[in-house]
Amino acid sequence: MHDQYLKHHNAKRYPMAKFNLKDTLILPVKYQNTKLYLTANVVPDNTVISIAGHSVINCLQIEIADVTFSDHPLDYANKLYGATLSVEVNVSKIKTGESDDDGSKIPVSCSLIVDAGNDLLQEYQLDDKKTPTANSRFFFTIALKAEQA
Amino acid sequence: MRKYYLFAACLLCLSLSTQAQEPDLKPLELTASPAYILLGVQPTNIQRPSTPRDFAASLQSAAVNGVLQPNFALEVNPFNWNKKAAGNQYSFIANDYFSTDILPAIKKNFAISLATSSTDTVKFGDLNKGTGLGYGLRVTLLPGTVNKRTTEDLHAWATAETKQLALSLVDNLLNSPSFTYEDVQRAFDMAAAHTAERKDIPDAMKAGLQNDLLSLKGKVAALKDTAALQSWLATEEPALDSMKAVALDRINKRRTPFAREGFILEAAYSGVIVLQNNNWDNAVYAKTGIWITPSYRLDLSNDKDLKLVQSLDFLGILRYIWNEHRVDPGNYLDFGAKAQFNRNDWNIGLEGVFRHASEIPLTQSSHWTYSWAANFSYTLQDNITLRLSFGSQFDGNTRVYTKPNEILAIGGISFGLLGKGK
Repeated sequence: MHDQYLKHHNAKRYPMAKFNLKDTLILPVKYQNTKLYLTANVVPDNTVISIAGHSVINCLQIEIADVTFSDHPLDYANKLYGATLSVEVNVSKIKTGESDDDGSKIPVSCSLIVDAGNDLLQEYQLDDKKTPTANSRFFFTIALKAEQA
Repeated sequence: MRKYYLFAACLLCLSLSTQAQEPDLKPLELTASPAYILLGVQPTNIQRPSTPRDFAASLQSAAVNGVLQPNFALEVNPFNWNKKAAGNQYSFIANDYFSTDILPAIKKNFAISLATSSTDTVKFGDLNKGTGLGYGLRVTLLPGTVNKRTTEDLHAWATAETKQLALSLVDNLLNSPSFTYEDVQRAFDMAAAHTAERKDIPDAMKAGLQNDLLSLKGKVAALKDTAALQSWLATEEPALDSMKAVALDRINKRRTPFAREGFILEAAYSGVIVLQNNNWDNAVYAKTGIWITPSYRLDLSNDKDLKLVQSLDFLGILRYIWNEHRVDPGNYLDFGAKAQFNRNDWNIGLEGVFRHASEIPLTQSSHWTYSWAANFSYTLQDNITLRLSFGSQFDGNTRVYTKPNEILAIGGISFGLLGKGK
């Protein structure tokens, strides 16, 4: 009972901070035989904070991978038409420097970059400036569609 | 015009009063950069270049028209330069703080220091006046450990984070209509593999976390069906979120979350070249010193007040200084100890150093001398520190003997100028 109360109490004190972005990405015909790559960057508003965390990709409901987000290869563009790419970036803020600030309250911004080969297709941005927390979770849901000729 | 003369007179008085403070009581600067200690300077504006380009620019600023400028101070750790590279800049590399291996500690705490200062005949004997160039290396051989409270909080975070990753993968697979127990197995295998590779979790914690994952998998396996799994995940995931947030909040509210405690051993090497009459052709290798400083730190901070920084330090020093014969005919062997209590903006300490000189004047019978001091320091603002010292200093060097064991009481305020970015 006491544990239940504590869980409830902490859940109220430390609300889950989730940030969502939904979009549709049209994949140009010229990239149909090109591999898509994902990169995510998380940057704090100052350098006292370091970022730790994990990322989960859920694509086509088939392929799941937890990756370090740097040029993570997906499939060829023409094989991803109609798929929904859902990416979760789970970010923990850890203060490494010396300051009087509460590191949990320092906002971070998260960007998700979709590349086709070496070309940039789209960059998506989310941040937790409205409700910065120690543990912010960013969800990107991108529907991949073929370009209509 | 009269005002101008008054102002000049005030400046003259100020400079005379500054000179009247000599001899100075130098506190035992065990953690300061070696180049500054042997050169006898306490710079307030130390350049800390973080890239090779900044480093080159700093060195260029030290010389103007081929003449070395005084009052230049620089400290640099080339092993930290790659951390400024894109992608590495904001990453938390846990082993940098938690590894007990010697090599990461050496790389993290390694420091090269350079400093210049005008030189005089008091510190540098028969050498002509000019500019002193001090250089030094500092190596931490035993780094101590991160304080227990942050270690426990990071462990709590890592446990919740690892479990959450596994459950989040299960949750994703659960959406598939063909979900079976094989998928649970797959999710936990992926979580285990990812945990083993993570850099934000210390290697020393990973074995325990893998065991936690196994017992969590047992819990999931014991659930009856996917509906039970779904409702269990719905309560478990927010609970893990809270656990993570509580642990991270506690770390982030501490002023120095990764303050170290326990036994720390540092070694340092330093040398001073004096450019007599500011001419490179008249350079003399004046002093060389090596020293080791063992210390033990007790972290006395507590969880009631997360902003409180409190510690008790016991430090020792063993140092040998070779002097060029025109600077001083004798070499020095120093050994001493210091106890210091630190609390937020102030500290109080007591120290003593015994010194053995290899050569002494004929008028002296003992090769030994000593100094002791009680120090109090209070930081009024970021760049203003009040320092009070009380004690006695060494009996001069082997060339000039001051009054033995003269008691000194020195008070003062140190000002420093900080750049915009601190």
